[in-house]
Amino acid sequence: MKALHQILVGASPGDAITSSALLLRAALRGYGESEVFAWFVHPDLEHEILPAQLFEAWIEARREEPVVILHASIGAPELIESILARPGSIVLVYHNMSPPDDVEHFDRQRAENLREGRRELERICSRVQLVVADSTFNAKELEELGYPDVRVMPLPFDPTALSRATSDPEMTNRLETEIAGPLLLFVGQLMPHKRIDWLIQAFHCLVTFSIPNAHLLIVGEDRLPGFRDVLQQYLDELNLGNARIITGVTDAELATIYRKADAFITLSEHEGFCVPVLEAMTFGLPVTARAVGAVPETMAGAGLLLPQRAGPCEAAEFMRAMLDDDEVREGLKVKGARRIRSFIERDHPARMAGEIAEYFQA
Amino acid sequence: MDDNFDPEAVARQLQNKVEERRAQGELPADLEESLSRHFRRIVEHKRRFGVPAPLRLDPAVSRLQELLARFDRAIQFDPSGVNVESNVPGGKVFHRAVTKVVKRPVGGVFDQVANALSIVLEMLEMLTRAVDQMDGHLRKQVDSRLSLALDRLSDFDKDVSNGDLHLLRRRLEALEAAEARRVPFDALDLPLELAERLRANEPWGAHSTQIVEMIRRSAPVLDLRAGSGELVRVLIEDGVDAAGAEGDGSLASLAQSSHLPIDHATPLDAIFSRADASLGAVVGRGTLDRVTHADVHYFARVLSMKMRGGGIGLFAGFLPEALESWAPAVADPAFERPKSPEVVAEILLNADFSEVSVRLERGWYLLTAIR
Repeated sequence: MKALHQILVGASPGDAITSSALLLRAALRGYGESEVFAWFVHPDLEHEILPAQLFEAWIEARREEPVVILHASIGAPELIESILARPGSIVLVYHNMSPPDDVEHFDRQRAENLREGRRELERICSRVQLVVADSTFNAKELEELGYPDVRVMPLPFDPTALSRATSDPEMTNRLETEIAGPLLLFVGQLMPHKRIDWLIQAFHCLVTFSIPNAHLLIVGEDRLPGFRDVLQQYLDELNLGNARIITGVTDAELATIYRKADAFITLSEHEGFCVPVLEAMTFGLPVTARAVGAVPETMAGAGLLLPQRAGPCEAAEFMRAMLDDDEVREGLKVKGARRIRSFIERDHPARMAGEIAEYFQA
Repeated sequence: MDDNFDPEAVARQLQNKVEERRAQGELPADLEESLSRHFRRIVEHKRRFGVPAPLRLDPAVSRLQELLARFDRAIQFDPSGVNVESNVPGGKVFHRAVTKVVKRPVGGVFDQVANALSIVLEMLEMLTRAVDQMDGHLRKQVDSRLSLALDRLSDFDKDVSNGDLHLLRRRLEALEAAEARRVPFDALDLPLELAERLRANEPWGAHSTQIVEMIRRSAPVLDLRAGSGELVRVLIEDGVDAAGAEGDGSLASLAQSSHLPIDHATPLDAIFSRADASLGAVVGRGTLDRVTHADVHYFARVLSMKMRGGGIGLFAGFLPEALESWAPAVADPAFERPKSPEVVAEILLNADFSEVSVRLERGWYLLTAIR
């Protein structure tokens, strides 16, 4: 069996694609040699992830052309050039790419990288042997770019991993001190398409018309310069002192936050999978998400789906129901737990690894 | 629970509920659009200028802030803004008299008005802040609170028209009418004995030997309401360092014509002009009990300050129920009805006097206090 190496654009702790790649690596090693390479590697992961810049030398040393499993989520011209320069087989695992338009306001280079990523998808199309999308939504995007026979396989992701993290004492203390009321949670990158502005608007409606002492935590990585400032100013101008933005959390801190939260909500308008929805269900939280992209299939009927056109008042009513209505809370918890059991039982890392290995063995 | 619970059905119910609230007008019509506009403004500013957007001030808001500043100055209640002119003879004198009569109730009213206005000021400041940040979605919240504030102020206005302030205004009008009818009280128009009697000088006459004995070793002595100077004369003739003050110019002149050291001054002015801890004895007839409630505490504290330790104070006055207590009021609408000796004693004790004792006689009392 040929070596099955994965290549990512960037690898960082807590990143869903990185976590998936590591899980998939473990499964792929059952079929042969497997490593994970990344163009940008966070220092904390240097012991796990190899630099993609060394990929050529690594292959030369082994004198065997591997299968390259490329995780596509953003453009990386140099990386793509180096992969296309090699004669070996390519597997594309598509995780979707953020819409670049709103990113343009804050980071032109990042917006350009996202556009470049879509162009790269078109360029490598003819070289890809196997195409995997982690949702039907993502598969549809690839089909529109000309990819035939896209296989849909859920993200090889362990939703229970975070729940095994111990609580962080400082974060526990902070939450106990600062939160005095029902707590809503959003987890996700601070990016425009996550529509945190809508979330803030909905929270504004919630505290104005329904639950004045509700709290909201917006937890995620600060990906765009200045975007957090804009969100914070919006919170300030709306006098929403009970809503806070927290960035740069560790797994232990995030687990602590999930444990403290009473409900989870995301109003994102573009999702290729939406890992936090499943994490929240693992922690027993009722979940509401906007019915966009891959969210309905990720939720699988275990949460409240907010219609795409619904406004902040509707979202606020969904928030209220999750916080205030015992029947809704309990119903969603039970559904969520069942969804997580089902997801785990399917063992997606093993299934994806098996499909890839079998394809090339054949 | 799991089998019966249908998230899709719940989602539909929740949406319907919002639609019902919208139909009932519970949610502002432009709420969502104004919220979005608000966010777009922040983003657009950040995109263009790279810095946070400043708060946008509507011209009406600026005007409101100006008014707020004027309001802030207005509630300082500058005394120069109080009209003391009068069309009736006596002008300022009359107003001074009226002020004495109504000082306490008016003071109480002003305390309450000042308190209410300071709360109104704070309320307006908060409303202004809310308006500063107001976009369409905040309008309903601010509107409801503003309506509430206006309702309260409207109630206050009714109270002013119908309540205590209105009664106070009526009383002032009645006093003004009384002032127009007033016959100036001139002691020389009365027989001297009656004039002295109305100043509660009788105790000194009946008990002068006893009183002189009490204070002769506590000189210097100041008689705060010396009248024609009868007591001062007795003390001086007995070799005691004594002086006096008399508020009635006629009586003061009469005393001075007898070469007695009697100044034409009010009791308060007389005591205030003395050096601290300089007086060994102070006597007063119809003094502490005749000043207003607002002034009497101040008067007692000044007395305490001007007397030396161990000094003696003798204060005589008519009992409130005595006929003499009411007599001057017939002619003088500004007349302060005497306070009871118990009240005066309590005030002196609070002003650091000790060993306060009261001797009651028929219709009058003699109060002794040691500094």
